[in-house]
Amino acid sequence: MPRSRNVFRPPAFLPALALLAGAGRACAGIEGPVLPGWLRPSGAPAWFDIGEVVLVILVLAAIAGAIRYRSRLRPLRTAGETRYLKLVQSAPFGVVVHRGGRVLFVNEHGRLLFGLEAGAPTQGLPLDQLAPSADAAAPEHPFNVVTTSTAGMMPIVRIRRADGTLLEAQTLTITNDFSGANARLTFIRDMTIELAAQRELHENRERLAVALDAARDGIWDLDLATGRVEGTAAFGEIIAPGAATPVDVATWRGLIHRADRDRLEAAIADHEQDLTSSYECELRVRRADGSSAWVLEHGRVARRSAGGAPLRLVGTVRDVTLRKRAERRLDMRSRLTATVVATRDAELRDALGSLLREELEAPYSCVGILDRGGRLRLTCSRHDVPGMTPGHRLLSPEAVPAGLQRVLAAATPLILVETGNEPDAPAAPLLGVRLASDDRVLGLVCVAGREEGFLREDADMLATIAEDLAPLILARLETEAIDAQLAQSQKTEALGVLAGGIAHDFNNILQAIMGFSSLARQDAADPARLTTDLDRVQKATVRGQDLVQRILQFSRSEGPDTESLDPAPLVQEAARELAATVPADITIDCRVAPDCGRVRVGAQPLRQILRNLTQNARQAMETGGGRLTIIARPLTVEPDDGRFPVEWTGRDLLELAVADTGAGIPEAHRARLFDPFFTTREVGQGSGLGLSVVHGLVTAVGGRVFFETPAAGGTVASVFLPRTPVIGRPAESDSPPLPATAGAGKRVLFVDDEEEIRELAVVLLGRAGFQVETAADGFAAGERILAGPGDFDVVVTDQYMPGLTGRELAVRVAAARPGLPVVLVTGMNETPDGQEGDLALFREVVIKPFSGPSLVMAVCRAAGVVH
Amino acid sequence: MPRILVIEDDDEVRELLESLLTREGHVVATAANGKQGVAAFLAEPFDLVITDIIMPEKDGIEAIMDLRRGRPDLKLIAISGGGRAEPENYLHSAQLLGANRTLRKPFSNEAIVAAVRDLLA
Repeated sequence: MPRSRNVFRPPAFLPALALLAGAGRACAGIEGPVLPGWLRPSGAPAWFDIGEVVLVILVLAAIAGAIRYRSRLRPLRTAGETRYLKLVQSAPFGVVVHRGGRVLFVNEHGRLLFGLEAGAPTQGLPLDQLAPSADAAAPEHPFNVVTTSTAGMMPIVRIRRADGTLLEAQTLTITNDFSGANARLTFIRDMTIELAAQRELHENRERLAVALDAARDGIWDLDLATGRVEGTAAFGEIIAPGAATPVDVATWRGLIHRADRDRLEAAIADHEQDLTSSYECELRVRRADGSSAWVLEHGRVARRSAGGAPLRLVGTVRDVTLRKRAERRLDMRSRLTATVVATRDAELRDALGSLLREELEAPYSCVGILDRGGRLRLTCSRHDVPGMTPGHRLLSPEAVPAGLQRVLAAATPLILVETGNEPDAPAAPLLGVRLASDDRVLGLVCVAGREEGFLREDADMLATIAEDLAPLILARLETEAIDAQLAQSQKTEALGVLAGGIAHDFNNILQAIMGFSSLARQDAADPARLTTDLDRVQKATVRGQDLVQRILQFSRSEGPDTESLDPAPLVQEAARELAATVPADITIDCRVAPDCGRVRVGAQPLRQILRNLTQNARQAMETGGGRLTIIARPLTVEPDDGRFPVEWTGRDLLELAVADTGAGIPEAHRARLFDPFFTTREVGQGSGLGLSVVHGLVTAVGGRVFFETPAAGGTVASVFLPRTPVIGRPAESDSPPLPATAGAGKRVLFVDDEEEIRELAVVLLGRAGFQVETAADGFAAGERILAGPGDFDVVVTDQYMPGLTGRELAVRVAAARPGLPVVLVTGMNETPDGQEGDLALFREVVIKPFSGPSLVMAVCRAAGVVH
Repeated sequence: MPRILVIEDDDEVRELLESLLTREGHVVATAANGKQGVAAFLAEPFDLVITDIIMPEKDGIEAIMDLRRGRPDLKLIAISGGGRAEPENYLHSAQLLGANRTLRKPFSNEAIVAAVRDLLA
C-alpha cells in the first residue's frame, strides 16, 4: 500500500520535459545538448539562441501544464481515489491500467497472475514485457484491443509468463479516465483452471462418444411427460435403419415385437418403482425392410418429480443381433445334436420337424432324408404343406413332389410361393433347403404355411440349421451303413458256420453214397444185398436234398416254397401236440384270433417255426414248470412301431408269439440266438440249426423275429409273417402208384438246358408210356412246335434257360397252338417272370428238385390221362 | 479174431463201416458218440477203434485222449469230414493225440479196409 501513494509522482514530468526540450531543439534545428547549454556559465552568447528561447517557453508551458494536471488530480486523490484504488487493488481479478502500450498500474491480483516478484516495478513497463502474448501472430497486444461488446463470450487471451507457464485469461479492456487522463483498463480473469477443466470435460465427452460409437451404442433420452424421444444417430441406425428415427415413444415402441414389448414394459415398471437400479431388456425389433433385429435396451430414470414420479428416462440401445444369432445357433446346434443322437428314422424326422417349426415359427414342416437307393424318406407335419400328404412316406426319386425336387437341386434355400400338386392345397409359402455334405445331397428340411411368408433372414436361419444338421445326418447315415455292414458280416460269419455244418453233413452223405455204391458193385450178384446197398445210397441222396433245403431256408434270398395258408389250424395243431407231450407242470395256453387271415408261408416251414419256438419255451421251463402261451393274431404296422422299417407302415402281418415263464435268455446268448450250430455238439443231430432255421424261414418270407425278456420274467418269442395273400400252387400229393401205360400214345416235348435232366425226363416219362422229344432251349422248342403244331400233347419246360424263359416259351406256344398244355418246371421260390395271371399260361407247375412221380403225375394231369 | 469199435454219430456212415468191416471178417461194435464209445471200450476190450471227430456229447478228440490214457498200445483211426474248420485241422489234432491213421471223409472202402488191415497186422 505505501507504494500506491507514489504512483503519480513527478518523475513523469522529467521525461516529459526532456522530451519537450528535445522536441523544441529539434524544431529549432539546434545542435548540441540543451540542458548543458542552459546550465552554462552566464555571459555565454549562445544563451539567447532562438532555440533556447523556444525551448524555455516550451518548458515553462510544460511546467504550467503539469501544475495544472496535478491540480486536477488532486481532488480525485483526496476525495475518493484512495478508496477507488483500494478497491481496484483488492479486486479478485487482475487489473492493468495502461496507456500507449505502457503500464501505468497493475493491481495485486494482476501481479500474481503475471508472476511478478514482490516489489518489482511495473510502471512504464511495456505491455509486451509485462504480459507477453503467447499468440505470436497477434498484431497488437490484446490488452490494447478495446472490448466493443460484452454480449458475446469475452476473448480468451493467452499469456506466456516469465517462468514459461501459460496464463489463459478472459479480458475486458475499456477506456477510462485515469488520474485525469484517458487510459485503458484491462480486467483479467484467470481462466486457466476452468479452461483446462472444460477441455478435459470436452475430451471426456469425445472419448465417450468415441467409445459409444465403437460399441455401436445409441443413446436416447425420453421425456415421459411429452413422450418425446431424442436419440443419437446410432440410436436411429439401430432401431430404425433406413427409416426416420422415431421422435416419440409410441412410434419407437411400435417397432418392438409384441411379445417383447410386454416384457419391456414390465421391466420398466419394476425399475420406475425403484425395484431395480436400472432395467435391461433384449428385444426383437421389426425393421422397415421387414427383417428383425435383436436390440439390447438399457435405461434408467434420470429425473423424478418431487413426488418421486419419473419424469425422464435415459439409456442406450445396442444391436445384439449377431450375438443372439450366434447364441441361437449354438443352442440350436446342441438341440440338433441331441435329437440326431437320441432318435432315428421317422422319430428323428418328426423331432427335427418340431424343432424347425418352433425355431422358424412356422405351422408346418417336412423333413426328408435320402436313403442309399435315392429314395426320400419324408415326414410331413400336416396335409396343408403344398404337395404333401401328412405322415411318413417313402418316395422314389420320381415321386418326390416338384417343389421338393427343386429344393433338393438348389444349393441355397428356396422360398416357394406356389401351391403344390394337390388341387386342394392352400397357397402356403414353403421355405426349404437341402441337407448336403460336400457334394452329397442327404435330404431336405422345409417349413411352410407361415401367413406372413418367409424372409431372407428365415432363409439364412434355415441354411444355418441345414449347415449344422448335415454333418450330423451324414454321421448317422454312415453309422447306419456300418451297422448294416456289421450285420452283413455277422451274417457272413453265420453263413461260414453254416457252411462248416454243411461240409460236415455233406461229407457224411458223400461217404455213405461212396461206400454203399462201392458195396453195391460188389453185391451185383446178390439182389437182396444190392437192394439194401442202393436203398442206403438213395437215403443219403434224400438227406442231401434236405440239406440243400436247409441251406436255402437259412439264406434270405432263397426262400422255402411260398404258398398261402390259414395259420389257425396249424397253430392249434401245434398246441395240441405240445399239450400231449409236456410234463404236467407246464400248462399250455393257446389263443388264436378268429381273423388271422392267410400267411404266405408253407405248412412245413410254419410247423417248423412253431416246433422250434415251442421247443425252446418248453426247455426254458424244464425245471419248475410254468405256463406256455401261444398267441396268433393279426397286426397292422403302425407308423411309430419301431420294430419294423418305416416302409412297413400299414402292412398286414400275423403275429405268432410264444411266451414262457422260464428263466429268460441270458444276455450273453442273445447276440448268438440265431447262429446256426450255436451248440456245435448237436451237429449231425438234425436239430442243430434251431433258431437260425426259424430266423431263416421267417426272413425268407419277409417276416421278422424278436425275442424279449420281459421284466416279469420268461421269454417272449414273436414272429411276424406277412399276411399278403399270394396265388396258391397245387399242392403235391403223395404220388399214387402209376400205371406203366398211363401216357401211352401221348407225345411230350421236354425243354431243359441241362442234358442230365433231359435224359432223366426221357427215362421217367418213357417208363410211363409217353413218347418224349427234347429241346435244349426255348428257341429250338418254339421252332419245333411251329414246324408241327399238332405233334405234341404236352410241353414241359424249365423256367430259367439261356435264350427264352419258360414263360416266354409258353407265350409262343399259346400263339402257335392255343390250348396246348404247358407244364412249368421251376426251382424253389422262383416265380414265373410275370404277374400272377401268368400262371394261367401253365397247366401245371413242378417244383425242382422233383421226384420222378411228381413229374410224371403233372404231365399225366396236363395230358388229361389222370385227374 | 480182432475186435473193432466204431464211434460215429452219423447213422449211414456207422452202418457202412459196420457192414464193410464185418464183411472183412472183423468183430465190429458201434457207438453213436464219444461218451457211449468210451463207455463201451471200458466195458469190453477192443484191438482197434475207429472214431469220428465231431460228435455230440463227447467229441472224437476227447474220446481219443480217454482211450489212449488206459491203453497206449491201442490202434486208433480218426475219420473226419470237417466242420467249422477243414478236416485236416481236426485230423492233425487227432494224430498229435495218438491216432495211428487219419482218413478224410469221404474215403473209399478200400482205404479204410487197408488201414485196418495194416494196423492189425
